[in-house]
Amino acid sequence: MKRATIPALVVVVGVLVLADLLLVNDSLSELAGVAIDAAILVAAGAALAAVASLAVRRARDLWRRRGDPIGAALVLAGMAAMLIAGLRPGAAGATDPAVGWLVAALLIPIGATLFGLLFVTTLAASRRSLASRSREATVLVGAALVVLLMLLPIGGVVGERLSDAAGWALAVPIGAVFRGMLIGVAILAAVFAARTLLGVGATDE
Amino acid sequence: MSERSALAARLAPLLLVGALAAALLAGLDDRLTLESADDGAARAVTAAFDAMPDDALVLVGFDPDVGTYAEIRPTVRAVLADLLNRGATLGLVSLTPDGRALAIAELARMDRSEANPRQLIDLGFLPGAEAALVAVARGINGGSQDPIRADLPSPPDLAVVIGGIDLGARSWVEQVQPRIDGLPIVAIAPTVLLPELEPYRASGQLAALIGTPRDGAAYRAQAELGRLERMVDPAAGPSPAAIIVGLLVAIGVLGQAFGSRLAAVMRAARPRDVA
Amino acid sequence: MPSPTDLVAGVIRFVGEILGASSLRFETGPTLVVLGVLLVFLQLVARPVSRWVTSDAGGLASLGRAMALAAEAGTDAVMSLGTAGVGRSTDVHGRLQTLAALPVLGHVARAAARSGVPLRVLTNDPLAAAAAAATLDAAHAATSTQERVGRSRIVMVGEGRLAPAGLVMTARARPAAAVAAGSMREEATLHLEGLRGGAGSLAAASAEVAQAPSLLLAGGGALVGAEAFQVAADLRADVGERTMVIAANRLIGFAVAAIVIGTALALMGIIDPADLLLGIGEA
Repeated sequence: MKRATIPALVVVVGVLVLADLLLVNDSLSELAGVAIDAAILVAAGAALAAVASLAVRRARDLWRRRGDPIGAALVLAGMAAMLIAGLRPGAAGATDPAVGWLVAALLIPIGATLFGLLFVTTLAASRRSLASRSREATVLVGAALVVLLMLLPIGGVVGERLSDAAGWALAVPIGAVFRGMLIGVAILAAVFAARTLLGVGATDE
Repeated sequence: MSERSALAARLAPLLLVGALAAALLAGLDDRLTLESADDGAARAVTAAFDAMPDDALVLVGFDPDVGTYAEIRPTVRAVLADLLNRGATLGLVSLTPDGRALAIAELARMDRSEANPRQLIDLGFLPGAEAALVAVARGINGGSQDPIRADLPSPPDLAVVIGGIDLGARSWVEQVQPRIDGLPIVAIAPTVLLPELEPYRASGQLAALIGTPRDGAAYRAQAELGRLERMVDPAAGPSPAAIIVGLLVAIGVLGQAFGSRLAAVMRAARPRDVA
Repeated sequence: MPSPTDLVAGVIRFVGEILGASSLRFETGPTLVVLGVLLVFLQLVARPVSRWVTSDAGGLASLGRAMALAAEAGTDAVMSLGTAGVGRSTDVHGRLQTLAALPVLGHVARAAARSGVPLRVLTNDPLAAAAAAATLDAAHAATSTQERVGRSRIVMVGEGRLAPAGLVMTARARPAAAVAAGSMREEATLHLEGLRGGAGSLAAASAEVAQAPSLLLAGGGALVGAEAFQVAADLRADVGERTMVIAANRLIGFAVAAIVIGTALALMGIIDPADLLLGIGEA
């Protein structure tokens, strides 16, 4: 027999926050504020727990020599470097120049580089999809080619016509498809969220 | 895959890098300018800024991510410089760790430039994603005991949301806008978020949206930054030459693959001669 | 001592005072739209009598065969729960998809448990890792294979959406089957290409609308948009899952009808749907 305590608590808090959204009432706002502040504290705790959990798991992997020892060592070294930079005596915390250097010189270039690979991997995926003779892939890559041609930075009348066509394509067919998908996803997400919160149906736990 | 195809597949990324390097070294960026035929997005941003009262307070939701920030960085810096040049006070709040790290870097950069530090309020980092957004809205509506409200001299006149792949303008429209009457939201977002933000712009829930590098270039071309021009590095925008090389490479690669596929389909459709 | 009548009258008066001191935050139209959330709850309680036609859009129903081949070859299987996590600072649309991926993990875990194939689950969030561990335990319990539970692992990759993408791109593993279910944003192509590179087969499910092309280009089974939430109803004959999908289909039908009727009324100049739904003028 499932315990009803957690779903009951979730329903009460959910209805409280929903009522606070729909009604302007000082008392209701105060009550909802307590729930929101609790959620923020829980999120902060979860963030700290995530860092600690990652460090413990990687340290355990390194100690037991399982998994990826080099990756584990790099993760721990990176965490240690950032913590030392921000928390050493005399440091200014997250605003310390040493932390700023680590972010600007390492994190941002590494992140940007990974996303720079998207260009190559997307082209490679497109070619491979075409070679697989899938109908969806053929339509997708064909449409992508048409849009790329419309985005060519050509001047004059031709360029204006292409630019207008690109704007129309984004606003009408592409926009319509994406809006439809967004509506469908929003409805499914709302139903799924309600089902999960109320504990309706079997779970995998 | 034949040996020749495998070799071509390995060399292709190097050739791409070589082509990009050649385009940059040839100085083509001096002769090419990134512009947009349609500057509607840029005009909408300027109109939203013009509609602010004097000495306005702008709440900046600073949540880009390290991967896509390079795309929007020139526009973000131009927007911040434009707002400071108009005499606005900026309150920067972040709801993601990436956003907070980048906000600290931008605040430090503005500190080193000619920005007036009294125009900058660092509201820090709030965990909790949507719960934090609701807290921000409550803090603006509520009394001075809320930490956000305690740091802001008055309710904001405008919200500028700099979004990333974790949290963006969509969450602000959903959580903040319904709770604060008449707060216009201007969004700056990477192109990857354009499909989900364009409907919000079209319905008016976003007062303005800069969602592509071309819109960003159009805005930067018309923004008046006054003495804060030095905050924005004119050479730091996306390279038009690199964009054109990328476009042509993509068209060439996809065109060749698509052409081969079409040729294979037509060959298969042709009736065979039976000997 | 107050009588029951007095108590009821007191409660009604109290509720009336609260309502009297309150005002609607939105106009009537937007309030009714939000109250539609309650319609969602009612749909879940209803037990519609409908024929159910099972589909296998993502190819996940044939996972058992891939697992059998993996058992023969002595390889493992990989499942990624996406990059949003459950407790990370990202929006609720992403985090919900991680929860929606857990039934898919249950299906993959049961197939792996029956075949004796080790399963590696990739995640970048400790709360998602805890839920995944519970799902793995439940799968082994359901298949009476608790002695094999120690062979599977939950891999906590690290914070950020890039970390899992970077890991799968650089890993030398050659799993027999790879499944990615959950929120994947701009790193989706990197993530899926990395998984596909070494795996014998790939199935991907994500409700991220902007990444639909990435899932389709990755090849293999792809569950795009709302399909990522519906997949559990096709994988197992659970009344709760199927009621959810049928309820959602009804609501989608209402939404389509509202769009068609609203468009007709707007074209006739009778109403402006934006004014009615949002209380603001159209840009």
